Amino acid sequence: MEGFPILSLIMLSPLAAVILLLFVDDARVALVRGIAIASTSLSLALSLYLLFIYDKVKGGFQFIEKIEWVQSLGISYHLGVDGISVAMVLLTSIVIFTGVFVSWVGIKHRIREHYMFLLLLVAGVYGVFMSLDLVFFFLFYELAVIPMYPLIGIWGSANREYATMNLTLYLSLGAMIALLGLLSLYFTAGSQTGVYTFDMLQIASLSYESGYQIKVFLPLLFGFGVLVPLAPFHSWSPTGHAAAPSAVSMLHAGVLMKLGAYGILRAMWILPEGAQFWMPWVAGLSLINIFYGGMVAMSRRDMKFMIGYSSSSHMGYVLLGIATVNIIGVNGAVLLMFAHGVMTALAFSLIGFVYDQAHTRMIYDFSGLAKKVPFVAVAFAIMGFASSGLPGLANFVAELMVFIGAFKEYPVHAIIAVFGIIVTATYMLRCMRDVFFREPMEKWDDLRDASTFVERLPFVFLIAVLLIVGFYPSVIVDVINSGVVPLVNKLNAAQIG
Amino acid sequence: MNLFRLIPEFIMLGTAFLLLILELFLPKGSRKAFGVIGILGTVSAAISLPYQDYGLALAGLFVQDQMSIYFKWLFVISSVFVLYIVMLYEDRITNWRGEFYSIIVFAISGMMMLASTTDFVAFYVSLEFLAICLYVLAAFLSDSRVTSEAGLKYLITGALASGFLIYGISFIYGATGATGFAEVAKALQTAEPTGFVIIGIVLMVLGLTFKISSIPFHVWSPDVYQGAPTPVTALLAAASKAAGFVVILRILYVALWPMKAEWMAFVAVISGITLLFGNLAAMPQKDLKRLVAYAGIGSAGYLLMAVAAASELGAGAIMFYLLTYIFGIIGTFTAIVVFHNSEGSDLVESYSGLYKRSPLLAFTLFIGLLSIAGFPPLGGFIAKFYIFMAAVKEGLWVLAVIGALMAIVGMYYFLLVIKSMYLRQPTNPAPIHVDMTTRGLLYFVNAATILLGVYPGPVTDLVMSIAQGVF
Repeated sequence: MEGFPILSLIMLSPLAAVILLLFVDDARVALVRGIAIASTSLSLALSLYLLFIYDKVKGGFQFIEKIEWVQSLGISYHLGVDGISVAMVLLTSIVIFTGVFVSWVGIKHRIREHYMFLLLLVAGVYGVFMSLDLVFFFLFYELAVIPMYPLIGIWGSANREYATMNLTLYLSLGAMIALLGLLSLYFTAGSQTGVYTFDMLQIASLSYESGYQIKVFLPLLFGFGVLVPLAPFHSWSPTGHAAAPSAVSMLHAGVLMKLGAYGILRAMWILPEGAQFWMPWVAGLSLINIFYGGMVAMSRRDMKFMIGYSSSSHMGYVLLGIATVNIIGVNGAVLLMFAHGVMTALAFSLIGFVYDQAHTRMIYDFSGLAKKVPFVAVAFAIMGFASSGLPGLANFVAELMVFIGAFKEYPVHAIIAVFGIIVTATYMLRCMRDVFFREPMEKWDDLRDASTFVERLPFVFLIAVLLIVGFYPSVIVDVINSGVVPLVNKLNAAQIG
Repeated sequence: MNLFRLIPEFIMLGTAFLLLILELFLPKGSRKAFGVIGILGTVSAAISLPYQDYGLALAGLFVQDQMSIYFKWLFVISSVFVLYIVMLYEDRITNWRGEFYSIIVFAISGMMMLASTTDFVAFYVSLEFLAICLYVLAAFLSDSRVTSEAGLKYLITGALASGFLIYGISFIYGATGATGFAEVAKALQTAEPTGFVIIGIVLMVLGLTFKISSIPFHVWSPDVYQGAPTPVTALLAAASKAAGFVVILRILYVALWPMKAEWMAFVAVISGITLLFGNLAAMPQKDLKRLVAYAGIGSAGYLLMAVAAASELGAGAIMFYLLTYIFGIIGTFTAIVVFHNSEGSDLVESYSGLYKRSPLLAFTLFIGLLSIAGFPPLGGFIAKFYIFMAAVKEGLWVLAVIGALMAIVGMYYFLLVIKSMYLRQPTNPAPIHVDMTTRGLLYFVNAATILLGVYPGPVTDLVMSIAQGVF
């Protein structure tokens, strides 16, 4: 297998589909969908394969590919994955694979362009998770953000033009601020060794004085934090969620937010002392995320807004886990990134399915849908249970690990955070009760359940993933752990020093 | 003394004179032939470029080096495209006169001379030669009030800026007793930064801001961009800006290099104000040409940021930026002319639903504007990235943060145009016809912009090696 560019294949597969779609006629919808499905299936298959061939014992960055890009400035196309990236790549593959099917059902006009932007975005996401070069890391990051503009602007629902502009500008601002930090790292690292390079491995292998680390970590934390979204820089996110079409919400909440957390993890790895300095702050802000997000979610009547705020609440747990900087906490955080990605993709696909028929997402507009759409109701219930952290589903394992980790480092934070689960359970169960149970309403008699293969596939697939990881977490935790252990060790060594 | 080093300029001048003479003989209907002859002349000048040897010419007034060749390539590219845009444009104009083509070719040859100057005298002469051509071009459609006003504004600010320049030059001459860039640098190396020299530097820097449309001599640009014939706007936006920066590189990076400490902070301040003004003022614009004008002021701010960095990296970044900028501007203005020919409007709102009416025009504006705004993976992104690198390297943090914030503002107003084209529905669904040659040209420009973003390696290595030779 030596020299087989599996990472490039995973990333270039959607990109190749974009180029192919350029030459396809708009009217040939079946061909358009076929290309999208083929490319995402290939990525998914390869990502699964990657999960199994990644050498957990050896750990570190594997499947490295490196091609010089701009020699005079030390930029190269440099890919490689560690355990954390493997999990994130798999998550991306799962979400886009199901997203393609959700768009099949939900998108009715300008179908070809929709898939082109969707796949372009995904190529960017893959790129971020795989890049070992800071320039490419940034470039892919932007590539993942920019297609959101047309995706929400063209195919979105109410208030889409405002939402999409807000989102694009907010995220680009974060990216620009992070860029300045990354550039500073490039020059500081270069002046140490005399070789100016954007190679992340090289930059991370050096040590910087703590004052510098503390200063530079801040723009990186802000830049990536905006995407998480770290409170108080989260306002772009729920409006974006609410306006986006289903598949885009799935990608946005399922994967894009994880880019932010992933970026923070990488920044911690490069600047361990800076991270140690700022992590208590992150832990504090994570509580705001958990409770503010949760409380607002409770007050929302629009289901998409509810899930949108609930996402920023869940990302609070992820941040708390990251802030613990111990092995179990960070493992939990990464697993939660994975589990929440799958769970929230399921949530948005289900809400989208109902919305496309009913043209409303207001909780009070519905009642007793379970009688009309039993399949959707069951799927929604499973999603709600996962979100509330019930055992047997992936989120439970992840949240448990986060809490165990948090109790060691921040016992007060952890105790407060546990109550967040009650908040989540409250709005999830209440939404389930109001929408799917109680008396059925006459006006929803025509509502159709998910009955065709294409409609059911994404739901079944996502639920299966939640269950598999819930019952057998080590299938993915072992891989994540191989990436987390060296990271945490480096951070703890910095603390002692 | 080697006149052969000026062959590209001579070819251009010869072409311009030929066009003037042919004006007498060719029948009125065959004006398009002028454009073709102009383009052929430019292409022959381009063919001569790779055969140039490096060295001084005309008693050390001009020099042919890597940098002058690079910039001459930029001018040649702009010239070909601008002449082509004129051919598209002229059909719509009633009181058209054939000198238009020849004056454009004269202007290009002036820029080429400017790129080669190594002496304040030669610099001033070339600059004024170019300026007079541009004054005429800006006011060419003299029966239009908007154009007349634009031309007058351009003339008055230009004359004022020239005054600043010549005054500054005289101060520097007084301090150093030399007019050659290298001699001035040599004299300044041992000189103290007295008030005399500082005044010279300040006046000169201010005078130079006219050509690049930055604060404080930027006031002409929105009116002229809007009022001047669109091909002239393209010429001013693309080639003329490049000409301004090659001069800045030669004067600040060579002649005044020993006084680096004095002008760096000054340029940095100008850059910061220009960035803020250009980008913020672009936000409310409704007319696409005006929007691009204000954005062009913003771009001048970014380029000055690289100038203020005063390093090889900065010089390389400027050269890369200008190349991507020229492609962005050419694509944009070709699309504007085609659209204007069909619709008679430059308003952003009239572009609504363009993606349906002409996917190629919409795509060209999409690529061109987003490249100028600095979206990856387009050439403009890489260029902006290099400029930020240069600023961060020298520790110009305030400027870098302003630049970062203004990049977001830039995204905002360009996205408004994109929104109009792609998110709105057209009021008039009739498709807009684009002829085959124009299509080919637009494909080429778009491909170049994308290629510079996806594979910037070779051009970067080239500009960085040229930048090393500047000092």
